[in-house]
Amino acid sequence: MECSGIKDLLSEYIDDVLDSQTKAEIDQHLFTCEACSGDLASMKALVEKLRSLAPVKAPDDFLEKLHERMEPRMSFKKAMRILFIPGRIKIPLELATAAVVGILIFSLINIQQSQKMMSSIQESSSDVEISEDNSMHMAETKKIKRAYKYESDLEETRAPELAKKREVIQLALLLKKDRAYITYHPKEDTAGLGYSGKAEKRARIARQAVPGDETKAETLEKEDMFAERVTEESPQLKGKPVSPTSGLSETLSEVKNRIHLMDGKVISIEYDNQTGHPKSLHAEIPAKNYLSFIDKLKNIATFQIPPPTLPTRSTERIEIHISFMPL
Amino acid sequence: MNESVKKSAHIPSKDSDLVKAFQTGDTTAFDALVLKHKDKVFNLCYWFLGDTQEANDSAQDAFIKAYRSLKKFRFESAFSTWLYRIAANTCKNRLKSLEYKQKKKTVSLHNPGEEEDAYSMMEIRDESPSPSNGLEMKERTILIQKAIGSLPSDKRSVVVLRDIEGLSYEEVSKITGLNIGTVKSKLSRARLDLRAKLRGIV
Repeated sequence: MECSGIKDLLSEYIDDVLDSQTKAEIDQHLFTCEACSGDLASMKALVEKLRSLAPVKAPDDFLEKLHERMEPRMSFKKAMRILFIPGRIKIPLELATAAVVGILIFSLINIQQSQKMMSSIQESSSDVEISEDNSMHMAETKKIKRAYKYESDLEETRAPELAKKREVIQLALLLKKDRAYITYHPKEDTAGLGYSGKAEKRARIARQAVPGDETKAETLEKEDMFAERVTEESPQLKGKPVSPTSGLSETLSEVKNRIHLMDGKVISIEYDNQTGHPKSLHAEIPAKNYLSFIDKLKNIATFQIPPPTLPTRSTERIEIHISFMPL
Repeated sequence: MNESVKKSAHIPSKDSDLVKAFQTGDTTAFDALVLKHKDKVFNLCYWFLGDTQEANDSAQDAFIKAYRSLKKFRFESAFSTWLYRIAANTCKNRLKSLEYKQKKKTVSLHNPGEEEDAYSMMEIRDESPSPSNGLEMKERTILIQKAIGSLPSDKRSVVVLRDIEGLSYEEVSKITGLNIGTVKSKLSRARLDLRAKLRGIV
């Protein structure tokens, strides 16, 4: 057996796994070959060295670590225990949880309130379609609706006032020229004019007397008679010219008489501060007597403008404002 | 639970009995098996991988695989043989990972004679002037570990199982899945390589 063959068998020779014949042949060769004997010695030293190496032991916590890897639930429990047992971690976590729960409850309450408000708005404005995508249109519609509502409210509040408020009919009277002769007595024509004046006045009173109302006619005649008596019994006034003011006053008194005859009431009389002439009269009469009142006034004076007709929406009583326009 | 397992681990118990106990529902029996074999499995992984952390992870992986497959164990071999085979395959798979190869730092790989195996030759950077300068045991152990680590996977597993773990050829054959003749030849070549690499050191 040659040396190359011996080298390949030295490993088995050391482990003593060769058959007896091969082992004998190697023994014979080693006895005569120093090189192969040297190789055998070095290989034996190597094998002995390897077998003498100190075994490396596993870590002491090998089994515990193995359990952690094999049972993740155990590690989860351990992690939970580590997280929640220390107070410095547990307390802040509990506080944070309480804060989050509080915020959630508050937000839920707010959402419910806003939903209630929205539902009430939808119910109240049934003719307004509330669209989430068109909130501007909704706002404008609401604004218009509010404006209409305000105006309708105003209409409702104004209506009773207008109903209560009586209409004021403006009248302007021009004194007739002949009316001045009634009260104006020139010095040279005192008797004639005075008689004619009295006769005309009596006739006028008779005309003005409402048929069937003789009492009032007599009253007016008495008043005129008293006026004549005063004129006759006043020697200082007799034969003197009567100022136009007295004519206006007479006209005023006649107008007042007509108002009373029509079941009316004089509210106020306005006089001119400088001249003392009556400027206007404010009175009220029943609406049903308006036309007859106008006819009476036509006998007293001339209308500067045609008297207006009574509005269709006439009330029970109307107010009349008469302006006196002396010529 | 661990204390009770440790106490029970001191009681002599056969692997087969513990495996049967585990298969009948006694999960603590597996802990006893772990405590009994963890050092040998860890030692195998360490010399196979050459790194403590890698050895720890691989050993645990091996036990986890064993735990998941133990109920299907049919006693066709010894439990230890079956367990070491799982560990050896786990280490082989870990060796194949690129991450592990990148951790090779102090070893320069050079294999002019066998280009198919990059780990077959290794030059150990021994800065000492001569082997007789009195290297410490720890240093010698490191150099041996690096020399083993430079071996190809098949040679490495055979030499580790046979010379470091002290297993028989039959056990090595069963663990590695190689026939006995192949084990003999690979072991012989591995020893020759180691002798060449560690000349003057051992």
